[in-house]
Amino acid sequence: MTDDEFDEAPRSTRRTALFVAAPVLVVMLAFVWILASSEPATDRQVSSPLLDEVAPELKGSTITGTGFDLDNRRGQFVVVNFFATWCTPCLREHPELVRFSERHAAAGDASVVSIVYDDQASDARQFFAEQGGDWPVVLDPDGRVALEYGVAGIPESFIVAPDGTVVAKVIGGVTANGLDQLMREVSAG
Amino acid sequence: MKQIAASKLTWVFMAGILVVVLFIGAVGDSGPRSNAERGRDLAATIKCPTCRSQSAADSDAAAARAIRTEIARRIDGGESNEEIRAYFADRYGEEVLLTPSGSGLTGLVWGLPVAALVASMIGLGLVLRRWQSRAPREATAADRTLVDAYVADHSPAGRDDPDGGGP
Repeated sequence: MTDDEFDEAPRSTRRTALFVAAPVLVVMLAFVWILASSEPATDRQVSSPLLDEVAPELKGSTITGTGFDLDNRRGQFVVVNFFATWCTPCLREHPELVRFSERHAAAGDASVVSIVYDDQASDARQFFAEQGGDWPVVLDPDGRVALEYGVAGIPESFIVAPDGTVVAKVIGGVTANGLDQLMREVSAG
Repeated sequence: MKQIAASKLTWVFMAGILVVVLFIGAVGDSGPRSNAERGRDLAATIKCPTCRSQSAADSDAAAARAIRTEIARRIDGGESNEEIRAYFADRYGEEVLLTPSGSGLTGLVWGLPVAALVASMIGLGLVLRRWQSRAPREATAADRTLVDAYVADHSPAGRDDPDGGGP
């Protein structure tokens, strides 16, 4: 074997490795880019035994010390939202709830009520002070309300129609537009 | 005649054992227990809805704690086990129950194996009985003729082979 042949072999191996590695690298980068840029799953409606049933009783104290009773909201759509301050998807959906609440504040045709899930009242107060939102935030210290609604993970939202029946269960976060769309569909029958 | 009576007695004995076993299985654990024990047993039959593969008895998640509290509250309220399980199934769906309920369509899960066992035992009994009735109890004249012919052919005197046959 001459010196030229000796040098040639590793060079061809390097070229082959480059041809194999380059496409693999491109595919991996594309995969990372897709994962990083994709929107999180929101407005995912799921089945629930509560659908088309009268919403379970929702009565309790809020983080500001006032009382709340869902029955007093009859005649408008209510988004019953279960959240916690330690839940990242809850933090992500919160601006959408604020947008939805502000959009319907004047008309009074829809409102939001949040239920604190496995969290402290002080943390919830701080969360709302920082993130905005002026709707009632009901405490659920023993988790009974979450149990009544069959909550299996947060964020979870139940859309209660003006007649008091549950018309949708949404998991993984809501959007203001998604909620409006849902209300339109329900109103259209 | 004695043999038939003994056979019948065996069947009656086996049926008796089956009934006793089924009875013990059905009501054997329904003795008086404390509410705490009952609650623990019930929680073990309900899935923790926010956990993976854990019952409400095993998990310390908030949902599991809430389920245990609710079970205790409902036991104190005088509800039966099935009523309490139905409450959770109404909220989370039947999939929250780790053991199927004993009523409705899911009750078939319990009933079908028992029905299949009883049906197969009855079937086996009928087949065995038919075989027994079909089998002739005494040799007929034709049987005797066949046996005699065989014996005559295979006895040393009746063989034609001069070498005595056999390997």
